[in-house]
This record gives sequence, structure tokens and C-alpha cells, in this order.
Amino acid sequence: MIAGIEVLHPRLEALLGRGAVTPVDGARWTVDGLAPRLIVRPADAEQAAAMLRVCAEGRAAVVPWGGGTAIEVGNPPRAADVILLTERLSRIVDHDHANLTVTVEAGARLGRLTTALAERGQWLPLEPPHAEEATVGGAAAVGLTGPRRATFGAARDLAIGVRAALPNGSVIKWGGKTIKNVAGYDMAKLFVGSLGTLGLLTELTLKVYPLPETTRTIAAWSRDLGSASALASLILTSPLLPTAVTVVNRTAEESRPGVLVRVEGIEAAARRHERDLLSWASQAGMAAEVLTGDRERVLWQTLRDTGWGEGEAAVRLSVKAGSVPEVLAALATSLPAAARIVAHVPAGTIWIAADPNELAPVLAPLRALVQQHTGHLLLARASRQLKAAGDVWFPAPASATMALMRGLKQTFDPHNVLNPGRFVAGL
Amino acid sequence: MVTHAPTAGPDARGGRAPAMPAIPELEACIHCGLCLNHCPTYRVTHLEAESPRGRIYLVDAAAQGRLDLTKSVADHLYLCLMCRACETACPSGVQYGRIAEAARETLGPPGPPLTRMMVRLALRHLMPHPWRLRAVAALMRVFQRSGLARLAAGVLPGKLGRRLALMPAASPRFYAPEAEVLPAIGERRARVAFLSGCAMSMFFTEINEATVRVLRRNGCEVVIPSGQICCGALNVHNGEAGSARAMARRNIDAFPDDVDAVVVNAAGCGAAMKEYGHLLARDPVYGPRARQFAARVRDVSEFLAALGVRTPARPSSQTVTYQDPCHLAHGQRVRAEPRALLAAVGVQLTEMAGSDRCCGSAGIYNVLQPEMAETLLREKMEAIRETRASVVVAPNPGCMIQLKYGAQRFDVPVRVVHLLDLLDEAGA
Amino acid sequence: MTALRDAQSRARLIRRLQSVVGEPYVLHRPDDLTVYEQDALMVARHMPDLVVLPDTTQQVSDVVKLAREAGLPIVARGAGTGLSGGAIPQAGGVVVALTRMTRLVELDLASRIAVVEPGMVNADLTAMLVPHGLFYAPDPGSQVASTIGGNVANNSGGPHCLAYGVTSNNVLGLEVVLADGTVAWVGGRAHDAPGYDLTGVLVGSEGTFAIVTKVVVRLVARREAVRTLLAIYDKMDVACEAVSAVIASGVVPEALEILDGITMRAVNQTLHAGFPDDAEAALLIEVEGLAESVPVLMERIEDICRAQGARRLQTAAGVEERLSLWKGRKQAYGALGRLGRRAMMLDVCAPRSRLPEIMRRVLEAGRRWNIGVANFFHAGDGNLHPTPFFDFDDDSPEYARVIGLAEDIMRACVELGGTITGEHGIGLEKREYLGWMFTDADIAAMKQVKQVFDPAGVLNPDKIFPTGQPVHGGSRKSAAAPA
Repeated sequence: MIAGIEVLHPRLEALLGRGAVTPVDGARWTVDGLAPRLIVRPADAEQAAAMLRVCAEGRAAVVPWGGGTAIEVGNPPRAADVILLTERLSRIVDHDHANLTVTVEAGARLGRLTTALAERGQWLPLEPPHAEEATVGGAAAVGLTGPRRATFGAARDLAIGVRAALPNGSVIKWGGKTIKNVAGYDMAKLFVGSLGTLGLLTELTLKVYPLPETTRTIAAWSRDLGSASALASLILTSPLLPTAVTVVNRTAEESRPGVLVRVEGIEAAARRHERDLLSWASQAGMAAEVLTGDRERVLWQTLRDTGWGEGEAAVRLSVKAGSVPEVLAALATSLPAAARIVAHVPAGTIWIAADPNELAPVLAPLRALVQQHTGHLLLARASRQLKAAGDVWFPAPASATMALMRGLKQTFDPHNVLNPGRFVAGL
Repeated sequence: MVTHAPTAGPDARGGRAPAMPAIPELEACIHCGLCLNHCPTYRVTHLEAESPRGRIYLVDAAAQGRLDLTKSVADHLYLCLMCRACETACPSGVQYGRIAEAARETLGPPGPPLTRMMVRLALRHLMPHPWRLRAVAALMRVFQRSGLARLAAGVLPGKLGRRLALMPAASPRFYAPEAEVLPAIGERRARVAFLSGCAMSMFFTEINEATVRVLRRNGCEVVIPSGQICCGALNVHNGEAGSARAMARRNIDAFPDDVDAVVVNAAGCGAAMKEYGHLLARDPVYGPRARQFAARVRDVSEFLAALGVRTPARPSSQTVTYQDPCHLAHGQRVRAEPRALLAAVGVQLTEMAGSDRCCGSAGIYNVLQPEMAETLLREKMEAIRETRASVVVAPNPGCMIQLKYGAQRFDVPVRVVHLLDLLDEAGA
Repeated sequence: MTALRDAQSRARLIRRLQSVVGEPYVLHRPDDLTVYEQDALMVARHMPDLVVLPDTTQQVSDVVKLAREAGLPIVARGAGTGLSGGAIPQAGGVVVALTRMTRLVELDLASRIAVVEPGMVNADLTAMLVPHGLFYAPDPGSQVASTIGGNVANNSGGPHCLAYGVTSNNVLGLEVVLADGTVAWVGGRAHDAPGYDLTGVLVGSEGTFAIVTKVVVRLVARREAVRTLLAIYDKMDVACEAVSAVIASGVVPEALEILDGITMRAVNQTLHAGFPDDAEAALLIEVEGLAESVPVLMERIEDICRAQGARRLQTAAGVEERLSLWKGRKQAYGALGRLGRRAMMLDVCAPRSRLPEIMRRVLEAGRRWNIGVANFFHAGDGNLHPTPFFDFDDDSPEYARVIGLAEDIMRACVELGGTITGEHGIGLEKREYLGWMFTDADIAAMKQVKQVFDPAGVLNPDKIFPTGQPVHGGSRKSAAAPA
């Protein structure tokens, strides 16, 4: 910061109104041990942009904050002065039921949005950890995905329109309510997944889907991870169309490895899935059961939140779907015994939940494993020390690619006030 | 991969570049490009100028005076096979064939000056004269039987030697029907005229005989007019539209009007004769007669499929694949009928990939553009090989000659026959 | 702009380019160049200085460097089937045609991805995948000719994008050659590549950011069962309401297209596609999935169509009939060549909830300007292709009516929350209208991104951003943007 908080605080208050600017109190507002001094709650995109401009001028480091559910993702920040809390940007602007789209401000919680959409028989397939508390903007900016990614896409695929507040004080938009749109450059792709380092997402228009008529989950439990993985592969080469196929080494309830297959759609399809899956599980000597209702809901929620519990560390591997069996086999022998593995097979996303103290020695072998399979690794949750020991994202992009990314960061946030140092390679 | 470089040399075609007249068919092209990947020469070269759209563009630019008709332009236009696969692909119904023929009429025959002269000579002074063709056939027979041909092919260097090897074997005798009118065998169901054709008469006498046999067996009275001559297809395709018109008029005079159809067993000839109306459109006397004549022309497969053939006593048991001749599939839109006839004689057809893609024969193209023809032939033979068929049916003399050569050249164990060969063998 | 004014430097450049790609693949004669002066947009053309056809990434890189050195702009080109003039070298320069680069570099069946070169023809890719029970989902109408590279540049769509997404949702990574010749990879073969989604921002950048030399594509498994329905209507209005009703019901088909009577009759002239000759509109609907699901879903759709007033429902009896219906749909643009000498296919989108309204405005506009308009489009994603057809040339005074019509339709779509281009791109054709969609701040931000990728502005200049020189209608300035 150029001038101190004493100068910034009144400037922000003058801009946004007294109630919108409060000093930080309490430890919950820290990021990797750094404690920002102020919390600012802009009421709309223009206020957010004005605030960003002021902070840019004053070189005050800004931490965009939605629901805080994934706030720890990223490298330790170089500085953190002001929290930009999006809670007042929470309107559901337009749920166009017949167009299968919803336009919502970035600070709206996914839980509330889910309820609102469900009233008209629709839903938004964004399932980051602790989705109920996460905000739409936060989920889009961080880009974590859940069990049904391969079926419905990630935030980058669901967002068809965005508005963003930039550090130069402007509010820009791209896209809108049409799922086809090639007017101009796809700026949505730039901001989604950028960890808020190029600008603040203030509003998104997203594709929604009809709620399925019926949902059930077939769980098949095996003796070893290899058999579970093999059954998953079989399912993925069959004509079946499950919305999620997830392999686990254990769950809270079940100590055996297994495959969880989620089936959503019309009754006729669900029955076919059930029939085939139970039959294949039986042929493979696996015990199988069908889960519905709350049991099913809680199961998937737990799987979704694996690694995101109190006191846990989490690593995410992203590999090609075809590499998952081999990677799982390697993981089975190399991870600490208590580690939990949740592999969303069709997307190639593998979450590892472990004790933070047991993670350090396995990180390098995990990176090597991922490299061998031309994949990527994110150290999503870990101690500050472990995060500071190397970039949480691996591998770093090649130099030519990195140069482009630096160029983008430089052009949109020349004073590096948005989440400085937190993104890939310290962007 | 063959690379096609426009042949070196001065750009101007020795003097004033001819002016391209306006061609009405050009208007239909909306430049969408959907033809590109259907064009064999584009698939090989990946050059826009070797695509139908590109060639149309060149002709259009020339017609508007934006482009001189240089040798380079002519080269692009003459690398075209005239297979008309683009017409099949075109959603706008652009009649590429007509555009190309009109352009070639302006350009004259293809090739460097010596070649042009020889081609013109052959087209004007050989093709229209059946007796001269007989003489040439006789000479070829002597050349081939005496072993001279084999010697020459072995001795002459690379390209030339291969071109000689391309030369098809002349039939033991030139086709000569026993009489001008051959009665139906059994109940008479139709009366047809038959085009004996020059290539068929010189190289495939037995197929003509088989054709007539099958027609007669199925109740056709067959008239083989003695005054008929070459249909003129090669002339139209090689910039000799003037002589082609004269040949068309002769044929229109030679063929009787009182027939149910004029039956043709060579795809190229059938396509050409179906377009006599267009060829003679500006002829006040022959124009209307040409249109009526053209309306009676049928490929033998069309005619027999409509007429219905006798179910054979001995159905075929060979593994067969089918090569759609360009001028049958694209030129006449006849694809289903030959297949229906094969099915009627119990043939289980194994379709080859790209059955309607040109084999590279394309009239005299394989002599004038040996590299491109060879590339296309290699691909074609691979497609045939993959079917593992022992027989390939190709109802067109040019295709048959090319595929026989291909079987030898690329070592593919397949027998090349005409549709009527199989029908005759099966006793249809 | 160019340093090729004198014959000597031109000859030298030609020689140097020839040493990179080989003599046959450096085109410099007028006839060789003229065929590259236009793509499928017929109202503009401009001769390139040279055309080069490289065969490898390294060659592309070397060619870019040589062109840069010579101070020439660079325009990448695939098959040249683009309808917005994206491949027209309006500032001259070097056209880099990627049509020779057609290889399937990698095929990973277990992961359902492939790596292809940019010149691979879209339909050829899918054909190659048939034996493996896979296909590449984005299927634009041009797919029998358009290349994957071109599809990437335009973020191409197609009827099946309703279910499977557009190009951007089906590309995981790219190898590109940047404006200074540097080769870079963005994205990867797995999801979640670290950093900004450069892949996402490159897709649809219309050749102005980089030249694509490899594409990592996502492949989709062919569904067990498919059923195709043609629902025939007597009024376009009613057909549009039916589309909205189907979407709103919660059944999302794999494809949902509309053809109007004009289009169907035109297609019938060229093709026996199976369309009726006497209907004003038809919905072409495709449902895919499990053998158990498809009949149930189709029945629901049929019920909705009937309830919405379909005169007749016709289910495709087999593969041939299905392919024939689709061929008819995909050849629609070309078929319009029979209705008039010229046609201008618009590419607008409106939210699906406003479909009946936008179609009414389209038809009104046609009446107001007295020009016939054919309509065939991706109703399921709200992507319309109103296509005026006419006989006059683009330099005739009558042409102003076509522009007026086009602008009315675009304006209506923007007013209803839509877009002026759903899949064809801004290119040359619509650049003067960019301001109808974006504020100055929006455009400034986009230009900033362009600056990062191509600071010298050598890649496909004069595309996307307004220059003040409309492509249509000569000296006409673009009309005021809607409020």
C-alpha cells in the first residue's frame, strides 16, 4: 500500500457509504495467516469497480471474498489489505425458465439459488465443495468441480454471460442469455477460473437444466481399489449414461473401496441402469446396493466435500480419464493409510483428503505421478508452510504460455492489487 | 504424396490469351465451399485452385475480365478430372460439368503444344471415324501380340514405360454384330437401340456381346445402327466441342426414333449422350431432336433394372465390390440400379470406402496427367484391397482399363469386370 | 503497410518461403492468388500478396517469422467456408492456408480425446471415429468441408450443440503459433490446466490471436439409440411456440431445428430429403440415449408437438431416412442458391423464450423491406439464420434494402437480449455492428486482450473491431445502435 489504511478507509467510505466499510475483526478473515484490515461490501458492480480503482491507486491488496468456502485456494498472498465481500451483490436478476438460463449476481449463495431454481423444476450443475454456502461468483472464479463435471461441464462451460468490475474502475460485460454467442472475444473464459486476479465477477448468466424425474445411486463395494476401478472402466465403455461415476477407497460409512454410480433421468432409464449395474457388480463379485432419498443426497454431498472438512488437507489431481486406473493403482500404494481418495472417473478428477501432517512427504511423488500422466495437480488445502514450499499449482505453464498470462494480468491489473501472488506462478 | 506444381514455362499460351465468354451456370455458385472435400484433386493437393469452387472462381474471374487465361489457369482447369463429384455434393445444384466444358471449349485441348496437336488430331480425325478406329485397333493387336509392346514397356524409361503399360489389350476382334437388328429371345418386351461405342468395340468386344445377349434374353429386340459413331465424350471434355457437335448430329441421324430406349453400357458415353440436348442447344434444327434423343438414353443398368431381369439359375458366389463410375454416379445419378441388379443375381456386395471417388482414369486424363492419376489409382486400389473382394465391378471401359492396370501395378488380386459380365455369367 | 512494393524483395521473400515449405506451396501468380481473395462471404474480396501452405508447426512458425520480417499481415485460412469474411485478407499480406495439415496426431480412446491438426476436415474426423463408436460433436452445416482449425477460430456450433456444447466446450487444449512465431501450448489433455483459460479465450478469436497448429478435442460416445422426428406445421408462429414448449417441458433433445416452407421447397429441388412441399414450417428433432429412454422421450415430444398443433408427425424410419433429413437441413443454405442469385445468411440469436416473437419480427421485416427471407435454424439454442435471397448485386441501389432488413433483424435480437452472431463470427461482415453489443469499455477490454497476444496487430487485421468502413453497401455508415 502506498498510503495507509487510515487514508484508504475514509476514501472508501466516501465512495460507498459508511455502512459498507468495516474494520476486520476476528480470525476468520485471514488468508494463509495474513489478516486484511478492512472489509468492503459494495452494493453493485459500479461500486465494486470504483472501490477497485481506489485500491489500485492506493496499491492496496484486495481479496475478493464470496462465501469463503474456498478462500484458502491459492498460493499465500504477497499482501492482503482489503476484503471485497460480495454479499450485497446477491440478487437473482432473471430466471428465464423457458430459456433454461439464470442471471444472478456474483454474491448469491448457491444454496439459495438452488432452492429458487428448484421451485421451477430446474437446477444449476455447479457443485464445488460446500456448495450451499459458496457464492456463484466465488465458485466460478475458483472453478472447483464436483462429481457430475463430465456430464454437465464446469463453470467455464455453464457461464454464457458475465459482468466484471475491473481495477481501472470500469464495469465490462460479455455474453448474455443466448447459449450460442461468438460476438467478440470470449471474455467469460478469461474471468472464470481466474481466482479473481483479473477482475471481480459481479454477475453471471448460466445455463440451467431441468431437474431429473428420478435419481438413484448404485453403490458397488469391492475388496480392492483395482476392482472398483475396473468396474468404473467397464461402465464408461458401455452405452450407459450415468451422471457420475466415482471410485473411492473408503467412505465414512464403508471401509471398503467402491464405485458410486449416479443415475438421473426418466424412470425407464434409471431402471435400465440399475439392472445392468447390479448385474455387472454381481459378476465382478462385488456387493451392491441402491441408494435413494436422503442417503443418496448425503453420500454425494460427502463425496463432494472430501478433503474440505475441518483440519483436513486436500490435493486434486487432474488426469485423462483413461489414466485414472493406473493413477489409482499408484495411489493405493503410495498414500498414507488414512488418506481418502475420491476419483470422479469420467472427468479424470481425483481428490485426495489427508492429514495435513502426513501430506508433505507424498507431495513430490504425487507431482511426479501427475507429470508422468501429463496431468495437473492442485494443492488445494494445506498448511501455509507446505503451500509456501512451492507453487500450489503444478506444473507451471511453459514460458511462452506464462508470458501470455503475465501479459493479461499486467494489462487488467497493472498494479497487481487483486489477490497478488496467489494465482499460478505467483501471478 | 503427389505435389502438383503448375508446369513451368511462359505464362501466356503462345500469343493472345483467349477471352472467356459469360457462362450462365456460373451464377448458381454461392462460394460455400461444400464441394471441396469431395473433389479428388483438392483432396490430394489441398490447393483451392484445384477445387471445383476454385476452378469456378477462375473461370468467373476470366469471364469478368479480371483474370487472363494464362497457361497456369489452363493447367488448373485441366487438372480437373471432370468426375463431377462436386455436382453430387453441391447444395446449390451448380452444373460444374457444363461450366468446365464451356471453359475447355474456349481453351482448346490440354497440354503443351505438341500434345495439344496430337490430341486435336486424334479427336478430330480418329474418333469420328469407325474405320480408322478399327485400323488402329488392328495395329494395336499386332503391336501387343508380337511382343513389341512388352519389349517397349520394359525398355522405355519410367513414366513413358508405365504409360505404355497402361495401354489396354485390344480385343481379338473389333466388335461386329451379326446383324443390325437382333430379335428378342422369347417374348418381345421392348425394342432398344444399342451404342456399341469405340472403347467398348476396341477393347471389350465380349462385353458388348454379353450386353446384347442379356438384353435379348430379357425380351429386347436390339438395334445396332451401322451408321453410329463415337459419342464424342472425349471431344467435349478436351476442348473440342465443335467436332463433338458434328459427331452428335451424326449419331442423332443414325439412331432410330422408334425405340423404347437408347441403351449404353459405357458410363461416359451415356452421360455424354444424355447431354446432347445441351451440346446442341443452339442448333435450330438438331436442338429439339437432340433433346428428344437424349431423353431416350439409358444406361443399361437403368434400363434392365426398370425392365426386370430373369432370376438366374446359377446365382453368383463371388465376393464382389462395386466401383461407381463417375459418369454413372455423378453424371447420371445412377447408383441404386447396378446394385439392385447385382442383388438380383445373388451377389453379396461389399461396399468399398469411397466407391464413388474417381479412379483416375477420366477419359485420357490418365495419359495426360499420369502423376495425379497414379495417386488416385493407388488410393482406389487400397480401398478395393480392404474389401478383400475377388471381383470389382466397374461398368465403364475407362475405369476397367485403369483398374486392371491398378491391380497389376499395386499387386491387388482382384478380377475387374463389367456389370454385364456378371449378369451374363449368372445367366440373367 | 507492405514491404513488397518492389519486385526484388518480393522475389527474395518468395525464395525464402519456398525454402521453408517447398516450391509448390508458395503461391505467387495472380491466378493462384485470386482464388484466396475470398471465402464464403461474397460481398468482399481482396488479393493476398502471397499464399503459403505449410505442413508442420515448425513451418508455420518460420512462415510467420518471415512474414513479420517483411512487414506483412498474416491471415490464417482453413477451407475458407466462413460466412463472415474471417479468411479474407483485406489488408493483403500472407494467407497461411492450413489445409495440408490434416493428420490425426493422437487418438486416446480410453480418455475419449484426440489431437488433430487444424486442416482436418470436421466430417472426416467423425468418419474416422465411426469404427470406435465415437464422434466429434460440433457439427456445423459446413462440416463436410470446414476444418477443425476453422471451427476453433469461429467457435463453431451446429445442430447437435444443444446437447453437446459448442467448439469451446469440446476443446481441451491447443498448440498455437503466436504473432512472433513462438510456439506455445495452452490447456492440455486433462482438465484444469493451471492458469487462465487461454484455450477458452483463443476459441472464437477468429485468427486474431494466434494460428492454431494442433487441437486437443473431446470425443463423445455414440448413443445406443436415436430417433429423429419431423413435426410439420402450417404456421411458423405455432412451430416456434412448440419449440418453447418442448424446452420448457424439461425434455431437452439432442437437436431441435426449424425449417420454413421456403427452405424445404428449395431443398426438395436438389435433394429428396423427405421434406413436405406444402408446409409453412417443420421442426426437425432428434433424441438420443438408451434404447429404453428414447421412445419415452420421443413420445413426450410428440405429444407436445401435437398439442401445439402439428399437422403431421413423421419419424425417420431408418438410418438412411435420418441421414437424408439431416443432409437436407445442412444443405439448406446452398439450396437457396436456387431461389435467387444471391443470399445473405444472418446468424442471430435470441433467448428461446422469445422465439415466437423474434420470428414474427423477422417475417415482418421481410414484408416491410419486400425481400424474401428463408428461415432454417437451430431453434433449440435460439440461433436463427434468417436468409434473405434476392437477384440484385451488392453494388446495386436495391442492396440497401437487404442491409436495412438485416439491421432490423439484428436490432430486434439485441433488444430481446440476444446476439448479432451465434456461430459465424464477426469477421469482416459485422465489425461495424460490434458497438450494438458492447460498450466502449467492453471493446477496450477486448482490445487489451488482443494487445497481449498480438501487440503489433499482424494477425488478421481489420477483423472483429469496427474500422468505420462497412463491408456491405459501400459508403453507408452503420445505423445508430439500439438504445
